[in-house]
Amino acid sequence: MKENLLKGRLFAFLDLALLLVIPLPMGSYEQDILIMVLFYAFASTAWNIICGFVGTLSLGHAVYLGIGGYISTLLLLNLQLSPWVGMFVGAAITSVIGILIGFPCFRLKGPYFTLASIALGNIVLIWVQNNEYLFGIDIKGAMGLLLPQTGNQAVAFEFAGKLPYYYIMLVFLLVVILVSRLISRSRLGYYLVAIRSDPDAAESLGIPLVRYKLIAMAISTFFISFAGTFYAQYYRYIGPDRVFGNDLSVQIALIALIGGQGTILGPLFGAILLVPLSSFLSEYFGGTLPGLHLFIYGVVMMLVVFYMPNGIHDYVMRFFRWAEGALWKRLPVSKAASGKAES
Amino acid sequence: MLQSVLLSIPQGIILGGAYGAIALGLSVIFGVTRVINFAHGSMLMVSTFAYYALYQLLGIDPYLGILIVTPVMFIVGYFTQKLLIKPLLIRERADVVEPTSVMLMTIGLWYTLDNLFTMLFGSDYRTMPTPASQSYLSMGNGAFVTQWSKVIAFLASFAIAGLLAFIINRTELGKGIRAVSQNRDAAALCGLDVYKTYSIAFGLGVAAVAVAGACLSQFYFVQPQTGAVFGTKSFMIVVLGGLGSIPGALLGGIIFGVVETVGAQFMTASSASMLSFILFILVLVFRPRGLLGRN
Amino acid sequence: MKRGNVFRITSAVLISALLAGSLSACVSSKPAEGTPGSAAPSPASVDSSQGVKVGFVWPLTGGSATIGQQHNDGALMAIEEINANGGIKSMGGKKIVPVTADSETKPDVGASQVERMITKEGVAAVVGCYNSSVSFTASETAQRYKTPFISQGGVKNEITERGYDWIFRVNNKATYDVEEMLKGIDLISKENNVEMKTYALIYESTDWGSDNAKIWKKFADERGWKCVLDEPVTVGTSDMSSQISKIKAANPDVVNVSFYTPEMIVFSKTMTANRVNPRLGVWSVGGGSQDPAYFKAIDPKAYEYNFVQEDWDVSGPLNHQWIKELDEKVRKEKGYQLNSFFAQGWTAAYVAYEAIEKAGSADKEAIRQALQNLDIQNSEDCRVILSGYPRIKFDKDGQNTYSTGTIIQYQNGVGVGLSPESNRAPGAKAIVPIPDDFDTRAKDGKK
Repeated sequence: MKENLLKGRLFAFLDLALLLVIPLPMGSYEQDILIMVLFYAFASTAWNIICGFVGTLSLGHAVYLGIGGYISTLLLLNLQLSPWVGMFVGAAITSVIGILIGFPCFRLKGPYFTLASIALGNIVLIWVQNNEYLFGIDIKGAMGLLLPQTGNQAVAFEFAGKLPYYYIMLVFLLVVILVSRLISRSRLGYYLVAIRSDPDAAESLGIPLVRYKLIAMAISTFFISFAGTFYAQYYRYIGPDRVFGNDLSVQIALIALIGGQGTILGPLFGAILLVPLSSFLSEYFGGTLPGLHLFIYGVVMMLVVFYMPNGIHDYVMRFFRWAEGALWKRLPVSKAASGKAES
Repeated sequence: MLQSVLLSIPQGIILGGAYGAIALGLSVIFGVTRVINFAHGSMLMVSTFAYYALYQLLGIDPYLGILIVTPVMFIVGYFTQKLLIKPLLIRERADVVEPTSVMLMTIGLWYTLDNLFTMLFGSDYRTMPTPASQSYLSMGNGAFVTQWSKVIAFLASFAIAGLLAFIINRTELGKGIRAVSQNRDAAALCGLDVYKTYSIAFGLGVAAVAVAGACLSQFYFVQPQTGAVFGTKSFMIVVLGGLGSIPGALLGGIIFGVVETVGAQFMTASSASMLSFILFILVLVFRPRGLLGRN
Repeated sequence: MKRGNVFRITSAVLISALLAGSLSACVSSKPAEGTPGSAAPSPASVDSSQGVKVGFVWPLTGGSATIGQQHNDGALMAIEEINANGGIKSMGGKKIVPVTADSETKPDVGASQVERMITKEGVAAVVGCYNSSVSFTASETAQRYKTPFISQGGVKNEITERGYDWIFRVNNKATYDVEEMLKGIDLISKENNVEMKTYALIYESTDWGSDNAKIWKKFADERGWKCVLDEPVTVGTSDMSSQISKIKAANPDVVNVSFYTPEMIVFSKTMTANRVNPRLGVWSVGGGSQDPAYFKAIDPKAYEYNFVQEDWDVSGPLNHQWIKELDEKVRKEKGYQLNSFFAQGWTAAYVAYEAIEKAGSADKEAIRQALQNLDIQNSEDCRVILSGYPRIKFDKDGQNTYSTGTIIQYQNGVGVGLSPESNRAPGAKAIVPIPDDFDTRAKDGKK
């Protein structure tokens, strides 16, 4: 029956509907912000798969985004390979790299792992800045790769308007959220949570810690590399300073942490809160108070750690559960609202 | 070629001493409280601004300024631990989960401080034309040249290390610190106020970095973004040297300094800076307790 | 109620308020009339009450923050003057309304800001962005929205080599910079009989530094000169003793350096302390060597005898009365002396004005055509070209082919124009080979 299908999921459907239509009446600057919301939500959800579920804090994850973007772009520039195909090639290579890096690093405990991820990020950044050739391919070092305009060709992942980019990113986001959900309900997810809660106990129960962490890492890096390809195709330029930089890594992590580490929708909530906020602040204060939006990020981070250690996720969910309950009491009249309800 | 390589070694040692001076405070903080303080670089930066303000407004030379700034920064560190970190530690005791929230808090603090100062003071690079920053030590008829401010930083690192070691090993207060860092619960059972000890250790660590800040402000710049680079380096140094080990932090700093400067003789300077990160990862993977660290 | 709960609720309320505020900021804007493919003018730029909006995108935070600020100062002061002198006369005295945004030295942020300016603010043209990487994405956005983009500061050749007809670059390409430097070296070496054979490159490992070095190598090799050192340096380096000792050991005739202010300060101080004296000097273009903060932070000894390819004519205040007055005004109001970055911001703003004036409307296509046909000759009372270029005229790629600079050498703390010879004051002469007078140089030099 319809009621049973909707029960507990009313807002999930409403918000999906909202996400589908929201860009249509907007101007293209607002569409750009919306695309960025989805972009960061996507990247942070992918980050969450390894870092949220497992509890390790990686502050160098942008590296995988950058590698994915570089690979698909190089394939496009040198072999005229469509970025749609290049995206998957990049993802595959990136996840292999993720596993190779994860293998020695997962032995490290908490803060050491974090420090190692920062160091790795810096190594890649400096290396790419200083080298123009990798295995003989011209990667242009610090100067970055410029994508040529091929006109409005879907095959070349290039569109004149913003809407196609929006819907592509939306599909990406839905896929990664779905994968996230599948993992959390699967045995893999069960083990990951066990590892997070008490690694020693998990190990003593015979759970192969490293193997499952590596699987999560492979999935996480596979998806985040799509974000890299998207970035390159959207801005038509990809350079090491931004994609391998520390700022991007921390931004992705902060959005997931503020949203709700280890939850499925947390990163999406975090992105919805922080991305428009930061655009809003740059718009009004960027000229007069430089750095204000990053300052706010820091303050919000501290507030969240103090008062909402699980991120804003719990509060948002509680609100929607209450709202849905209140609505079902009267007749269900759909009102558009942001956020999703999941159980 | 050989001559320049050999000459680069003392350059590296002096630079490394300066790095060590900055990292010492972090070593104390981590050794005692097991807190990874991502805002360490920010504290360094804040202290350099304090010295700059004293110099510009009152004409006080930064080395004299140490007398004023250090106690103030001690208080800042003490209350940072007490107000921001202690509540999280108490909350975390109840969980079995790894205490990441303190780390996250310090990340938030790092972003907040760095950008607060950017908003207030802008991104300009400020310098202080003090005697120490303008004069050079020249030996061997110009073969070896370095700034006096760097040499002072090198000497200061030993002074700071000595002072910290004295406090920790020879005083009553230090006994408490040692007890808490060896076994928190046993110390509590003996009647020690563990959290107060943490706050003192934190205060000492931040005071130590404030002294280093006086030296840094003279051979580098006063600018809101300078903290981050040194903060990251301090972590790596502390891990290399061995967490909680004061001589380890000095040794780690010197090793980093030498690797960077000697490495730059054999490859481009940029690639040489990669070496420190690579060294760090190797240490993490093969000898996580560092060179002189205890458990 | 427990204290913890009060805080919880307060934080929740605050965060929801912020969320609501930012969402409503998104939603309350008007949708743009046309799709990006058409050239429909956004309503605001033909709004008669406000004037014609022109957007400026500079790095106001990040590595080039002070430089971006100086560009902005120049642009805003120019607009002030334009408005005070009657605004856009062909539009009945309408004023120009500047809209400034911070690119944060990030290509994606710069592109977003340009997008916002065009679609929300309704600017008739965009000026920016200093950093080449930001200029790529920003100009691409402008091209897509068929909005004139006046590129100022970015030197990568590709900015005007992509076949985009809405982009016009006032300043020089990277290749021009390098060509001028090499021509200058040739000239000075021949005039003074000091042979030029070897060179060293030291630069920051960013796109600007690496690009400059690459082009240098290409042209220098064509002249048969030999590269004895190629040294990229990571931004944030506090110690350059190794690099300087390598330069000393390589003993080049010329050292070419590309650093922004902080690294430039460290470099100059270390070179002086180590008494390194390439025969034909230290040559640099832009970056820190044009930033007043650099000169303030070091002793004149440290930059004495250095050659700088200035993107503006340093003898300007000496030769032109109005520039002298402007220099005094800038010193008074901003606390630094008129420099290349200020001059470039000023010139770019004026070019935008000239185009709008010529077009007689805020219609973007008309402005573009005006830019294409623009031809401004420098003269005694030409207030447009503060940067000292002889002329501004864009070729078919949108590049101003007359964007030459001047090579100066610091003698006694003052920059003396030397190349091209047309920019040389009578009696001015290069001091080469660089004397070994570290103890006495610039003793009476003023800053």
